[in-house]
Amino acid sequence: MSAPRNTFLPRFAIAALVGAALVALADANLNPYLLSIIQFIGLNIILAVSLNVTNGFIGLFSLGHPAFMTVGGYVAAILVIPPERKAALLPDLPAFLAAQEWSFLPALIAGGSVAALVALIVGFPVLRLRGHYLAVATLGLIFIVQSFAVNLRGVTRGALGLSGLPELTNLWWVYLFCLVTIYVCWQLKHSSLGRTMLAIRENELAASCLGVKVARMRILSFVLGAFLAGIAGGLWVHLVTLISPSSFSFILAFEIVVMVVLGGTGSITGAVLVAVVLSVLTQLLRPVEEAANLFGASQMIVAFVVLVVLITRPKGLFGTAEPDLVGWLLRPFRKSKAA
Amino acid sequence: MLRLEDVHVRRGGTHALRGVSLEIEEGEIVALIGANGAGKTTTLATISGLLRPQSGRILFAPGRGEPERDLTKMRAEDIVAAGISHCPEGRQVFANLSVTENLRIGAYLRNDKAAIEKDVADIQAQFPILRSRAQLPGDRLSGGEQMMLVIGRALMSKPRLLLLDEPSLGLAPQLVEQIFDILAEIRRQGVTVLLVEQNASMALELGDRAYVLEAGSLVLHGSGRELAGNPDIQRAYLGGA
Repeated sequence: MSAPRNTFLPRFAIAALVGAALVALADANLNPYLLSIIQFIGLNIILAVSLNVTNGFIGLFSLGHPAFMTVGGYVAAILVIPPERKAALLPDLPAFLAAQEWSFLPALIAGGSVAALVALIVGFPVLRLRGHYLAVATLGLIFIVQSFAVNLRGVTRGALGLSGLPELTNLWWVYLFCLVTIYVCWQLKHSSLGRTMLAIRENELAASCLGVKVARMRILSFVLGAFLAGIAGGLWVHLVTLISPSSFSFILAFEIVVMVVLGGTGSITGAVLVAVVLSVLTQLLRPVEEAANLFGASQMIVAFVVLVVLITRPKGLFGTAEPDLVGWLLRPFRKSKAA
Repeated sequence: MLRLEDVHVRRGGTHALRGVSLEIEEGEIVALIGANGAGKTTTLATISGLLRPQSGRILFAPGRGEPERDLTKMRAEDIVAAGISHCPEGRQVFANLSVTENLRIGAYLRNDKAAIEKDVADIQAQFPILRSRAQLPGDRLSGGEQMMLVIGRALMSKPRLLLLDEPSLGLAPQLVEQIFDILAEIRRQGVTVLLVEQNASMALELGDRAYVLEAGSLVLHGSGRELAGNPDIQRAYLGGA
């Protein structure tokens, strides 16, 4: 079904090193525009893989990722902005916040943690809902968070947003958090905790009959997904150097859900692969849209692809499985060696 | 071991249990029979904490001389930890998880890793089919094999009392007999069994005692042989003339 666990670590280490070499190569040779596109691809990987914990492993259909990104983005941004600039940008900021000047990593983690805290508080009432009801409730969460961001002017500068943020995010940061996200989610999936999450998704009744603490597991997966989304939000805003209440909308939620559904709910490999393909496809189609004057065509194409995949493979590309892509890529080499 | 005292349960708009009182002694197999909608499944779900009764008490002592606890105030996971395992109706396997993974989840509340692996091996020795199919996903098993998996999984929590809901449902007669042999064997190993069955003739044959549930109330109670000989029971549940 899935690659045996003991082969994961060495493979992951090798893949991480190869990736690091590629990152170094790209960092030295590519222009800033291409680099930023690669970083968005990386962010999409983090988002898709982390949403997969909530939507894929335990089967909660959440659309809440943009809400947690907004929270994480604001928290990281406010902590990172130097006090003198805060005085000009946010004169009404409470004193204890105004004096803070954090470096990037702790600010990102703080952003993730606050997002996780929001998920914890929201989770208790919201996770009683199932299926479509949960989707609608988490959709509502996006608008609630946006509305807080608009109205808490003293902290967020309202609809104007925070602009001119330091350009702290680079390819290395994004790569690091991609690795962390994939590693954590992979280990989770192949632990007894992850197995229990899959069991809840498969059959909640049977799981609760066996004494599985269903409510606690749901909250745990929701909170973990939110934490990683919060970090992605912090990375995102320091890449585009701007955050406003409308930075992360429900359209983004739709895009991330599409990545999870297409890749296969529960498949990390699938989420990564589809995140990359979809991000690249969107970028490639953009000039085509402009040339043909057909704006929005790429979204229609993506929606069409989703329909085709869901009709022909309702469980997504890989279902819950983790196909051995590395082995598959290396196969031609092994064959030639044998011959 | 288990005592229900005047238990009332409402589900949605219906008054599903109307004052059920029953008792199970350690080491017994007790059958609960009755028609569709009589409240058999509701009774089991109330004992295992999936449903909350409106009134009444459910007292459980895992063994002789151990203190009784009122299950109506406990959460489902604490009831499993106290020693009651519930096999719900309809062979609820985890379809995408392997047979071994299914078994391991049965031990969710236990922390002794080595003992869990030993118990997985023991269960697989008792049900050889679960060893030869160890790596197959749950939904690739046949109906009878899934039933064995579900029973084996329920045993992984080391229960003192096993609640079984319709184990014979949809199985060929030969398999039903095999399942009932397994239940007899489980009882020999010291696990008390409360069995809900539509297949009344088999249930009365296996059960030391039986209760008959009708529209949310217990209407008859006796030893399995007594009830099997009762003309009313024969007419209503055993297909007799």
